[in-house]
Amino acid sequence: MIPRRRARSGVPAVPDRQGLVPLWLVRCATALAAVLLGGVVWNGSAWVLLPVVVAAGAAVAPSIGPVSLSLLLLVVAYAVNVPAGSLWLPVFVAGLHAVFVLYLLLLPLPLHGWISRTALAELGLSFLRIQAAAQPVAVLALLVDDAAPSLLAVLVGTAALAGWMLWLVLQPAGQRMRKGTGTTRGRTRPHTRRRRSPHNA
Amino acid sequence: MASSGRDGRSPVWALAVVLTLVCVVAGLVSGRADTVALATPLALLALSGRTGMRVGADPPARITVERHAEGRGSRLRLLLAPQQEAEPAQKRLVATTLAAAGCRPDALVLRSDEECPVLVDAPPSGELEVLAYGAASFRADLSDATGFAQAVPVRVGILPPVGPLLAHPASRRLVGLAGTHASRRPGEGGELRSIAPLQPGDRLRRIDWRATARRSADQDRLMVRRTFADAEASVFLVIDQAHDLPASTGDWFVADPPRIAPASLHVARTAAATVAASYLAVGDRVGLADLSGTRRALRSAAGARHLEQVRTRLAGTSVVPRRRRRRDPVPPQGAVVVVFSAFLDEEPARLLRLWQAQGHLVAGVDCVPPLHRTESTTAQSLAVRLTLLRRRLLLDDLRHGGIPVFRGMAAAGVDTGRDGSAAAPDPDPGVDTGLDAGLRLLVRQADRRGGRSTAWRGP
Repeated sequence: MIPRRRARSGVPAVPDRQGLVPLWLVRCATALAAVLLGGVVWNGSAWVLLPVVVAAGAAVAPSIGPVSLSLLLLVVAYAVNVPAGSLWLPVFVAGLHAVFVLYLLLLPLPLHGWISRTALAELGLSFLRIQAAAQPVAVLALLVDDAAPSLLAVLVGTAALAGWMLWLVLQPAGQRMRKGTGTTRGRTRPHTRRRRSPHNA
Repeated sequence: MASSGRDGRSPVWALAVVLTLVCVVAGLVSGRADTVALATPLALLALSGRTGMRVGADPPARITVERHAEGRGSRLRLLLAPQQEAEPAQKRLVATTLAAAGCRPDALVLRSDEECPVLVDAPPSGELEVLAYGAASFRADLSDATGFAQAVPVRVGILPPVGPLLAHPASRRLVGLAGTHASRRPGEGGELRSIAPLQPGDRLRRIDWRATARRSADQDRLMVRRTFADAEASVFLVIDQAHDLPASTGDWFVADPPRIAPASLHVARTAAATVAASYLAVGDRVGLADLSGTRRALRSAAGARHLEQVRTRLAGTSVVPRRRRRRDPVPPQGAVVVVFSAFLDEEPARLLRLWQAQGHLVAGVDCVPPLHRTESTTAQSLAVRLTLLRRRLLLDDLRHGGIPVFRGMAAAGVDTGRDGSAAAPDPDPGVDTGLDAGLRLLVRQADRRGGRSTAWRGP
């Protein structure tokens, strides 16, 4: 007789403290943010269903495929559908960043769980720190959007971008970790005090 | 932040680079600065995450048992504490994945400087891995991530609870010079043996002046009281750990039966702990052995510390298939032998008969909890019926051979259901009576017959 596998019957481990937010709430917030951004860029089109479905799938069943697809749909749709100089740009910069962070936070986690409020606050602080640099760039982009495109600027920009990408990709990660501080390999061995024998004192 | 191999790139970095590339190329081609600006936060994330992933062997969080819980199926409180970072000023986030036995995994994301108590289901007794877990840490901008590191599962040992003290029958062949039982040897004790004339060697304080006045009319001889020596009893507990039968018969056929629910081994542990505590409370000696022969027998000793040793050894018993032994366990001389078993095969019955023939006072304790018939197929029902029939025949044989077998579940406290309602006990005519009443009757019977015969006549 082949023993049948029993249905899950245990009692899960649960945290016993206050100040925890269930992960399904974070997943819902992520899906909602992605859907709202999709609604902005696919305004008035039946194609809005596509980012909605992909965003919901990426939030509920996180996998790198749906996550990448959802983010690419937002970016490409913005470049195609939203007219140049739109005032939605700062909102979209913040929204895309938030969706990106939340997607990749949820990506390695199991479906159920909790996150502490302090961890969420730490994520929010980091988000604001990056947005403090990104929002002025967005405003600057709105200001210079009326300027005529320059072939020289495009070529220089493309070359700079390609060089930066090559620098990022080609340099081995391990080499950079050795250079950096705070990483496993870059850290020096802690001071170990040798206990002196009382006879040698 | 997810693992992507040794010293590899994280998905955060890869996806940020891809999206940055898409935004910048689309913006440069279409001549739109706003599309390029979309990539700003992503480019910053790619820059901060360019150092790759840390691959460390140690998980960035530890779970320890916060307080010791004992038996009764209580939930155990563990403490999840992230490891201290080398740079405490830099706050990191730690994502811990918790997987209790038979449950879906759950995640718990904390800041590296905060702790979180975690409640898990604990077994009623015994040693068990209650929680498997692993953790990964990363900065709040999802950079500098460590790979997911699996930790050693949390293993707890719950000591079996000790029930109300029971009667403690003793063999008449007592050994030792201390204790509360009256032996059959003359010596210092409390039980009167005879009144006889004073002889050389008798202590003067044993002179019985009333008996002297009554029996020695001429006052020419002194009468002394002679007593039986006090001695300690010895009990030898034998645990049969070859089977661990759950109460629900449907669980006999599943690959991974519920490990938290009380089963026959828990009944055996609890009943054995209660019997050991009852004997040790009056200064008797207790030894412990198992039928599987995996560990050396716990030597016979007395004292409160020995009770803790017995309970610890009992907590460490788990299901071990029985293997061939060179020799059977040897009880101490004059010991009462109690075998705790589910009586599913001949071996415990054979040993009981052997020890009874050697002159020991023997008793069996049936450790099968009240059964709930939950078989799902006809074949399972037939298998259960055959198993119970064989068990009944074994118990009947023992009873006809004068060996008492008591129910052990009353001592273990598993005669009530999970919801507190009384569970319907499985009517088993092969088992005589409860452990407490059975031991009391055994005491009375042994006293009445003076140890000349150890045959059990039933209640």
